[in-house]
Amino acid sequence: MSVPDPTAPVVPATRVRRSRGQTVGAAAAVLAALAVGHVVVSAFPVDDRVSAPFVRPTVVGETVELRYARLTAGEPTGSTVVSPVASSLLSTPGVFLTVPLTIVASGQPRLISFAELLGGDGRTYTVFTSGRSSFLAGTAQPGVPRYATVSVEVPPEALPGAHLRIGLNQEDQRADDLADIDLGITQADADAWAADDTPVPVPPRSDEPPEQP
Amino acid sequence: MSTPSVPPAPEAPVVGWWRRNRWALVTLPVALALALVASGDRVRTLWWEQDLRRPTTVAAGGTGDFHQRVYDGLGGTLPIDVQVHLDGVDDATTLPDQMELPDGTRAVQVDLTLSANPDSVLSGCVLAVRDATGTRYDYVSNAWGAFQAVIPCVPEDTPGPRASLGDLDEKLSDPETAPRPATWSVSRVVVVPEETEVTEVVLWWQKPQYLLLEVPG
Amino acid sequence: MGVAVAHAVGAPTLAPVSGPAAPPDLRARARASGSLVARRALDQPLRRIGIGGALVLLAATAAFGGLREQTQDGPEVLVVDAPVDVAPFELTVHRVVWTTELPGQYLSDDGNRWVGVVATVRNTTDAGVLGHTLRDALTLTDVDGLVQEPRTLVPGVAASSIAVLADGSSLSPVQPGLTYEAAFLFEQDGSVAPPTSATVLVQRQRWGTGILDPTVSWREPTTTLRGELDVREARSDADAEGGS
Repeated sequence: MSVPDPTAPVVPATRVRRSRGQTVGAAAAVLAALAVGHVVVSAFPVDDRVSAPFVRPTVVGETVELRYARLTAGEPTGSTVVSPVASSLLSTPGVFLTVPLTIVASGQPRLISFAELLGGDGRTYTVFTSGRSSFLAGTAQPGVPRYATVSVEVPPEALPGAHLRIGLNQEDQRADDLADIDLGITQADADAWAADDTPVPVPPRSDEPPEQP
Repeated sequence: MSTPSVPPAPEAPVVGWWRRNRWALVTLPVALALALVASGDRVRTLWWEQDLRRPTTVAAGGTGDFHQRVYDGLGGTLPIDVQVHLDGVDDATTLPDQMELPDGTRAVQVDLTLSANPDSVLSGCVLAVRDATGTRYDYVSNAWGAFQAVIPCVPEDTPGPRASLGDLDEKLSDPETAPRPATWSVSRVVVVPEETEVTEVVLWWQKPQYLLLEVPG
Repeated sequence: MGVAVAHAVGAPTLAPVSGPAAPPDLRARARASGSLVARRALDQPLRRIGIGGALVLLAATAAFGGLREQTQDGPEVLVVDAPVDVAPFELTVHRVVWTTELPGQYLSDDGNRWVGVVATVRNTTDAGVLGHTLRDALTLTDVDGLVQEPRTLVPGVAASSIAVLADGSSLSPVQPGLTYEAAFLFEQDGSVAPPTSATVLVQRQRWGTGILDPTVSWREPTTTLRGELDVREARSDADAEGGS
């Protein structure tokens, strides 16, 4: 054996001892951990479920108890023309659907500002506080019924099987109660409304019950 | 090639896992609790403090002393120093002009006497009544057909100074009104459901602090 | 394992920039391992490793479309009466007209006029979108004297209102599944002559989150079509937008 060159590097003997098998095994374990982590995070819709709203289903005429109010929806009606109070007549290539709501706030005054229609065709129809599809209930005093109407512009194919969703916070409905009202609209209703051009009034919000026709 | 030989370590007694880690185990629940509290800070700021939580309670017939520094919306604070006495809560004998009560409701009149420095800004106040269940019924100035005072806690004619709006101040006209008196009374009408029994009157400028005045009787 | 290194470079000296990048003991181990690839790789000067690494990285982007041919250099030409897909909408621009009177719309100055781009609007997504998203979808430029200032995020001037032709109301929210006949309205200063031509820019938007804002919405309008259209005076009420 030659004399070790003093200028040559001394390689510690223990380093070489780690076998190739161990290195490959460690690398495989890391990759496996990453893969399992990815599967766990993506296989279950955890984010959606954690932040999902608490949906309270109901039907027309039945009162639903929400954390912040008791809500009852009246019979929906529709036409191709509506007559809102704040503006002149609106006409649509589809159908204007109007649903009267009775809101009784509980606990403290509540400003119910979220409304959305889940059409029977699977699409979501947005409702804002003003515009062609609107819902403006204002702040309701607890125990004093507030009467307001939701008006949504939709294509006729969205009407059968449509659900109306009402919530408290317009921007954020996560982790709070959300009313899901099955409007019970049939294809016959949708066809009748799509052919009708009699203006349907959209009354402004009020604490006086609407006059029964 | 010879490796240096290391003499084997002397026989050490085998100490159990539990004994070796006992102090860590003792501090573990404490650390967990602290971690939960620290990470739950938003529960306090975004939920707890967004409602009426810290009352200054005034017994029936007494006069309450309320002090708070409120944010003025321009990065500074304004002092609120006011003494409030609840004169009474009764059914409103006369309704405000043009008020029409919906069916199943009644109007209650809240009479308060307040005193504060005439130069202090008191404009951001909110008035409400509560019943025994804790349900709160707000005073609404423009509702049910009537127009009552916009700011419930100051006199309508002499509300006193209003909060600065920063750059907008020079654009707003300065109404020439007399200064607010040092002591004044207000009478405001709140609409509540018919069966409600008003047990408390609450007054606040900025949550979570508020003034709670118990209703006599 | 002490191998006598006869190389002069084995001694730790300041290697010139073009010399091998790896330290001498690493190179010695590579030599000892007998791998030609290792020895060659570690013998390379730093500059070559840098360039080589960059080339490898660029080549790797080929797997993700990095070498795909770029089909267009800029916005396509906007063709009148042809529907174009600009997410979240499908727009069909018909004509550009100007008029001094529009029932239901109010000019800021009596002498001003409206320049309107008449278009068919469809929401091709599965959810309604509010009117402000539509505002970014079509803008006007190359018209003098427009009252509205050009926006910073979108090229050109955005409409001051978008009116539904049938009833004159503002088109918001734009619901899916419906075809709207609308006019994008731009106010022009009355002291300037009515325009004879205008450039219409149509923007496509991206559905996603922003850098600072985690809410998911329609963002980053990008001009995908541009067309120079003739502008004429609105002939009758049937052409112009009107309230009922």
